[in-house]
Amino acid sequence: MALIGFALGMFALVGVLILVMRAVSSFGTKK
Amino acid sequence: MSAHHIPDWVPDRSGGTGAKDNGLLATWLGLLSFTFFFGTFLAANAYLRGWSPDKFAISWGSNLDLPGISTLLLILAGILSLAGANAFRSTKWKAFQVLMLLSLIDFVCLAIAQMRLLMYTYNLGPAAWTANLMIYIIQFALSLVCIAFLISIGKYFSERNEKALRRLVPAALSVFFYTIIMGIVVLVLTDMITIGQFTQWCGTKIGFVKQ
Repeated sequence: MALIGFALGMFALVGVLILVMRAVSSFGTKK
Repeated sequence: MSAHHIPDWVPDRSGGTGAKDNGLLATWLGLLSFTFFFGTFLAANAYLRGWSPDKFAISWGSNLDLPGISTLLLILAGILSLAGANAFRSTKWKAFQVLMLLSLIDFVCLAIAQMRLLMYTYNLGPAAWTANLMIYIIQFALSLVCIAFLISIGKYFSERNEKALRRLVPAALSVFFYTIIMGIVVLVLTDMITIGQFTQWCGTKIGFVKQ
């Protein structure tokens, strides 16, 4: 059970990381 | 087919979010694959503490504030670097310079705090090394990478190389925010919840798998 929890947790973590890194990528462009 | 001309049907994404060059994409892919490497050590920590809590759970004693200090520094670094990047986007160079300098100071303090955590864990003996030491080594290394990014931002800023900064700042920010998010995940997983709570959480969240 904990193993499945970890697997799901890893995917959730990677998803959050992708969203955050995508969001901050807009700071390279001029406003 | 010519590689110089971008067809009309390709949408112009230069102003939005997303990977605009290979360097940024490589940074993202590197960080994401690193997450799984990091995850194995977090899994080992959770497993060991669940298996033998009195042996592998760290008692902080009078140093209870150590993990809290590094987390506060992480959150402050997030605020400072985000504000700095915002100043960069609106080409407010003075504010950008000051905020990035403050971020650098913050990340140096973070590296020191992580080193203190590392030394404290090291002195606790082999059980603590097995469960926590590698996690703290990785976090220390991440804070050093952040410092390296901030120094290179300073280098390009001093050269007034705006083109390089427009590529570097989003990549650096993704590394900063990676460090911050992973730091908070580590705090929650290794210091804030017990393994009983963790498995209970897994049980309530994925109980339907069993049925």
